[in-house]
Amino acid sequence: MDEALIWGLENERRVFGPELWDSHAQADCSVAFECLIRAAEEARRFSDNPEKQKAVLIRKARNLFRDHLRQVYGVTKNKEGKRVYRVRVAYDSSELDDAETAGHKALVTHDEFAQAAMDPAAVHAALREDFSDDEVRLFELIVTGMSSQAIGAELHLAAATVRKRWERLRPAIARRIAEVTGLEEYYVSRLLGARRRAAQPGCVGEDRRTKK
Amino acid sequence: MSAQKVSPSQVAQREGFPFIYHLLHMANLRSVAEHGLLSRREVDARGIGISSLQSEEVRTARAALLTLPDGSAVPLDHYLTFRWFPSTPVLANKAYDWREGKYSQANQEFLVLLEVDTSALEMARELWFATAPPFSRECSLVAADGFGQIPWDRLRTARDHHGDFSDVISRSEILVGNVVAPSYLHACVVCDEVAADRVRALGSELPVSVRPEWFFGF
Repeated sequence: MDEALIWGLENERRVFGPELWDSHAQADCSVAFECLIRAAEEARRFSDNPEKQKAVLIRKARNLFRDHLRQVYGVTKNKEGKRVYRVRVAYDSSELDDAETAGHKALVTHDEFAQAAMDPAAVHAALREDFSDDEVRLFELIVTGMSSQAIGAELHLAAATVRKRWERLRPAIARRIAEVTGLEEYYVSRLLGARRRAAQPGCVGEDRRTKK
Repeated sequence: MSAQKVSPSQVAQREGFPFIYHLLHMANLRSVAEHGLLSRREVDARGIGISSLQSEEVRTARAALLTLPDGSAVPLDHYLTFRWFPSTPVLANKAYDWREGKYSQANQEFLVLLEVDTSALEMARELWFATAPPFSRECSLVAADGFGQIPWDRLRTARDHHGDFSDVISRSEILVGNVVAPSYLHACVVCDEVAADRVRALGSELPVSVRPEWFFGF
């Protein structure tokens, strides 16, 4: 048993600091735990002294978790002009302004997709057969949990274009995945970020395969 | 003369399945050692903080999808879920690198497969076998007294073809309607030695074994 680690687990709020714990770490506790484990390993290598281990644990755990927030969610400025870590908000096309204000968030999180009972290699192969390289590439980037902004940077597209293309593509992809896996199409659509308002004729999000 | 009644765990052992498996995040090991394995609903009712592998979306979906044979609807998260063999589509998805198009153990270093003695099924207040993923159109439920009719041959074939989920039975789940006490836990299985050291650092008293082949470490 690692005593510094156990101390860290029993004092998580203290380790991450009240502000960071309340704003992000508590909600993202599995990542916080992973940062704590890595920090404890670093502390063990650094010293045998329990007090020094705790100090290293705190510093390293906070740094690792902040790195995670920067990489996954990014940083924005609040009303007072202070730089703060963004909070993950699922992208909802019916609230586009809010989504843009909050930052370009992941369209689908990897965890959501990873919970689906399916065979990813078979799904991937089926999508490669039925969709163009560009469409599959977009899907591959989306399920890694990258934000539309990050995907846009990779594909040399504007973030809004990434979101629009995904909204057009998503129903057909969801249908194909449901066929391959035998899952309910509604369930797959939810996993892939279903629209929360009824689709309007001719608007973004209409299924490209049913479009006349 | 009526045939002697055989319990679900006796059936499982007779068919070559001495253990059942549950995938969890390493962060929950200490809580499991203290409280046992709990369903999501029980975790919430007891106010226990856990690191879930499920997103809010999936939790919502799992909260309303199960219709029992008598027509009553029970939230799926009322049940604790197990599998007859360790490879799970959840693990496959965690391991799958979509950009590379291949499996990698990089995302599995904090995951633990708990090996649980099938005798835990004897204590189940409610017990169902879902013949396919509960989200599937093909899913039907087998009651505890019908475990003899489970397609064991197909399950054995699925177990022996690790990572092949083409037969829907390979994605089936055992649904247990209450707590599984810590005394039924047999071992922790992880993907590599680093993960094993982490489990030991957490003070787990369960034996830890490393089975990379269970974690899509081809």
